[in-house]
Amino acid sequence: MSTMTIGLLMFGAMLTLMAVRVPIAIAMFVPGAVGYLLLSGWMPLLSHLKGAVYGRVSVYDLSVIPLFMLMGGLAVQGGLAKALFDFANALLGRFRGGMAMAGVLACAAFGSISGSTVATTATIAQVAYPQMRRIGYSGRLATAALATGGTMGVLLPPSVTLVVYAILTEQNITKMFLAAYVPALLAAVGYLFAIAFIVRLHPEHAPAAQPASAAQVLRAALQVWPIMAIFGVVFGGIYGGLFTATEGAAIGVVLTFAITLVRREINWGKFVNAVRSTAQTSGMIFLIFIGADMINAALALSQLPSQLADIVGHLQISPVLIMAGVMVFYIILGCVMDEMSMILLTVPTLFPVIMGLDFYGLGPADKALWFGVLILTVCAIGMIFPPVGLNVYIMNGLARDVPMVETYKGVVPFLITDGIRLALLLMFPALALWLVHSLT
Amino acid sequence: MSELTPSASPPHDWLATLCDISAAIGAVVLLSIAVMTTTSVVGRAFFMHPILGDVELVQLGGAVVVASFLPYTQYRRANIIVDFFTTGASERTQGRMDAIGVALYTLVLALVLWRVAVGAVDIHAAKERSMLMDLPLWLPYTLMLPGLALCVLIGVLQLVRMLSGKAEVRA
Repeated sequence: MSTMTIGLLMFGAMLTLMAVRVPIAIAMFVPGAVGYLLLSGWMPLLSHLKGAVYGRVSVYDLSVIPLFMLMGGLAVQGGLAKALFDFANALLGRFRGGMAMAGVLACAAFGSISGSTVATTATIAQVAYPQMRRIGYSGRLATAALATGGTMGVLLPPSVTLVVYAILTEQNITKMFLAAYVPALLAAVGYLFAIAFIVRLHPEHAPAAQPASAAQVLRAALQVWPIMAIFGVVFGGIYGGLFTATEGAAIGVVLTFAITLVRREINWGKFVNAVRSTAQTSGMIFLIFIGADMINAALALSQLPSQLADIVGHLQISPVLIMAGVMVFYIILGCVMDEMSMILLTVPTLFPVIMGLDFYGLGPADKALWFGVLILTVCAIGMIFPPVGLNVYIMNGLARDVPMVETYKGVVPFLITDGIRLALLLMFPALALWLVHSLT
Repeated sequence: MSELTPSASPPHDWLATLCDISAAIGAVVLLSIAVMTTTSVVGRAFFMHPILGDVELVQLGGAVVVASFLPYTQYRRANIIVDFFTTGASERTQGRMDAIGVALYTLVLALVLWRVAVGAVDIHAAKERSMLMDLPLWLPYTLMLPGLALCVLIGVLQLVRMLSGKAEVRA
């Protein structure tokens, strides 16, 4: 068997194992280990494994993952979500559809201090959804707006997916964070427009506007200072070059814990919940890491990635078209796989391919950042894309009275704005790179 | 799926307690990392005096955190699976597939446990130490072992219960 054949067989075996409910991490590890064995023998496999696992879990930059998870977990348990939503609603309540817009903005704000998209969606939805339904929002608009709003968590720092991409491709995490802001802002603007558009065409989906008085706005604003403070210190410090992402995350944990403690919003039970959710999610992410490392090490031995890069490099097709093809591939893959596994599995193979192509004359670092933002954008789309959008499932779990089909119908206008944004990002890398260049 | 905040506390059998203890150890180490790093940054910013070797401590501690968190994830059966292709299958078929998944999980974690243990012994023999703080590197390797061993134990017990047709070990 040629090494290429072994590489392809590993891929096939992995997909088969995944299809029969074997945990994704294990479905990557087993064919990887067998492939490694076939390609180089027992002793190399055993000695590889001796150091590989410790080598993976002791990476300095990776410790931001459990740290940001814990910070987000504490923020979730500490009731900071309600303050955010109330403030956004006081500001936007004056428009028809304003509460839906407030839900989207609250997701964006909460996603800016939480590493977990799912936690962001679930937390904001728990606060916003009952209130939206009570004042007369349709189930379709309410669930769709919140499910979509939550996807911004993938793009907004400190998104774990973003950190994982930066580490896999050896990019500066701070620059990666910066590259994501303008696209995330565009996403928010797109979603607000989509809501305004929906309620104009179909006013029955949202109740009449309920403007808040200046006093109410002020009172709500006073409640959001903790989040502003955490965000300001953590990210101000990271972007200002005062400390690394890991240091920022550590400070964020201490700060969030201190603030929720002072505000008496956390107790022992809530703290235990925050720890358990951190343990559960971190354990899940790192097991996928370990599995992906195994199959990627074996794939590298099989030379499949470099062969692929070579083949694609010699295609007589415009690179932007290839990139568009890669994006379509990710959207399809996202229909059956979660975002984290998708990135860990494909980036080590596809990244060299992309780096070998020329896009608008971009330098290697810029190309890597741009590709990252594109991948994360499609990952976010995958979270609401039928038939298996993770965020739609979460909304469905929280809003039992709304059939999932309704939510999928509701997300269509939002998906259209996603498509427009993706096309813009493909055509104008500057949208992602501008902030990086002007601040670093 | 799996990132959601645990809704209710799992049933209190001894395995759950072990997983909680393991996660708690991970949390203590993680919080220590957070406090230590914060102290170091404050020291650097205001007193020109960071903690020497703070990066090393984060690396060593990070390994222990991850190994201590892994059992809780498997106990809650929160390692992500793709259920898209099997939603139409009967519960019995799904149960059998899940048993295969747990069996493979157990094998993989046993392999990892074995190799990390051998790694610890080898590094101890080679007397490898960390660069700045001169900490013995077999220490983090060894501290990973209880968490990994617990993963294997959970896998075995889950498999036994699945094969004997009893209720699964899950929350």
